[in-house]
Amino acid sequence: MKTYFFALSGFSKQAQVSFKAVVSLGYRALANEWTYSPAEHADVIVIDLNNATGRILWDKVKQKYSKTILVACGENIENFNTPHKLKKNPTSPPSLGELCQAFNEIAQQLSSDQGNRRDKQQASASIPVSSSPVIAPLEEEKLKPSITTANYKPTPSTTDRLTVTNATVSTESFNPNNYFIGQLQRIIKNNQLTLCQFQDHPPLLFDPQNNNFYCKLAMDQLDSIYQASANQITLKEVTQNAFDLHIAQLSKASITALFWKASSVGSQGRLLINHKLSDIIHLTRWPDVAHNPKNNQFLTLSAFMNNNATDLNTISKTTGIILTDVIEFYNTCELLGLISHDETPYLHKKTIDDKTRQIYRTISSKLSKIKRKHLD
Amino acid sequence: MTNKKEQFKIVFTGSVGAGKTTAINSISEKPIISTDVKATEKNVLRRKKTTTTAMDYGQISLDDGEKLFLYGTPGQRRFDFMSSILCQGAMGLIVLLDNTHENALDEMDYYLNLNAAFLTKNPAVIGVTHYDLNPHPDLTYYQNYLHERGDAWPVLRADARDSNDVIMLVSALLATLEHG
Repeated sequence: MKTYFFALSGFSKQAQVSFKAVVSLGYRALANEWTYSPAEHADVIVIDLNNATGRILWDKVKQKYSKTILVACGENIENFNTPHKLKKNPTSPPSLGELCQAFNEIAQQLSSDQGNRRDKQQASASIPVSSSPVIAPLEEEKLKPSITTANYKPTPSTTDRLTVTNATVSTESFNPNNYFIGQLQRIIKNNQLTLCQFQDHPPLLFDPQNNNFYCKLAMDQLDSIYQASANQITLKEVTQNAFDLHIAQLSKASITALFWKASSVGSQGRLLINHKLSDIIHLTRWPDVAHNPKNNQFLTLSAFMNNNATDLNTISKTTGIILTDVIEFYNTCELLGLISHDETPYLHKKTIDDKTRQIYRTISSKLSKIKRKHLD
Repeated sequence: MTNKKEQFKIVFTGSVGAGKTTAINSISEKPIISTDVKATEKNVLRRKKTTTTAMDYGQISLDDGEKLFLYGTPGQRRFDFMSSILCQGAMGLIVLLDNTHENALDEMDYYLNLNAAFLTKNPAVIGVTHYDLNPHPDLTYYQNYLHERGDAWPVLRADARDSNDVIMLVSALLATLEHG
């Protein structure tokens, strides 16, 4: 999952608070994490055109941040000359559904722009075939159908969930051997203290026996490594003394958390190579999703996939979780060896009345509020 | 005449010092009512000076006046009878286990056996605490042990002081209730 940053311009203080609250509420339907930031660091700037200030600001912002996506937000914006629009009346925030749809479309665009850049970079670098791959080298295979969730119709059990967006699932496949995640699998398999270097990035030091790694940067600042070609990353076993010397000033984090992050950022919503959306699968045991920003969705998927054997589209439709998140979860669980492939589907019939389901949702929603309150 | 508002209950149980009181305290909206007293049992004294005798009690207000009650069972074995009383009418059980305990897996076995009758109809989530202090046994050992018992409850590592982690455990319980 990638984090994108949005800024707000021309909004009153109160409107800013409301807008941010709507973004927080959309966590289930947003395909990525969206965080508020100052305009100079934002991927997207939303401008409130319901007031004169916003209209004046539009041209100035456009000029100053020519490479940033601008979103026109307001009541009468039909004729506004921009591809990104978000309806909003002057006194209330935009609707949750429209906001999620707009942000998901923008994320798709940003991701595909980055993907194009990445592909160009990788095309220019020769990718060597690993001598001891953890996953056997497989031939690239294009997934045939372009699957979308545009026609997604929630089942009765998901009717009160947020509308799933029409983001298109990538038709490219993901070969982990070509990315950092493949190198990380090797580190875990070798189970030795290892120094990992990538270009001029601060090094990462791995202690697989204790499930820890050490780095000067936080996990969120390592996206370029997750997306880097495997041949640009060097691994070197180190002695305990050298290791201790290196980690003195570094911060510690769990390899499991890094694995999830590297898998999701590396795959960018692409399904693992040689895997199909129609494969019948089930989860053999619950993964460790602690500290994962998407752990709410992943807990639902864990519970469902642990008790049902079915395909990824059905999982998405039944749980109301967008397909790209299901793919992300599936990829990582598969790489962790937690997926079993089945020949026939098995759907566990669980009958829960609407009232009980509503109670679960109410508690869940209250917990989210408590979580946000603690984060603020 | 006023409508009686619905009340829901989740019970936190598990080994002494695993963080039951702390966990409830980290998400309860009201200061918890705790019955901590000076510990007397040898196994408790080794780990902390005071412990819960009757129960811990916290609450979260839901919409429309409904409430979610969070109960914590006492850690000392002589109060084990409280467990079945507290579990009556509960939605599920969160079993907290201290990973620094010399026999953490046996502790899990003990609490699952203690609540076996309740768990035939209701789900549990296993929260492994103090994982930062001792990553062994890792979660796989707990899962394999559960597998041998024929149970498939979620096993998640959690810091009882961190409200996000406690919310994660409750969310896992809700996910199991709805989709498990």
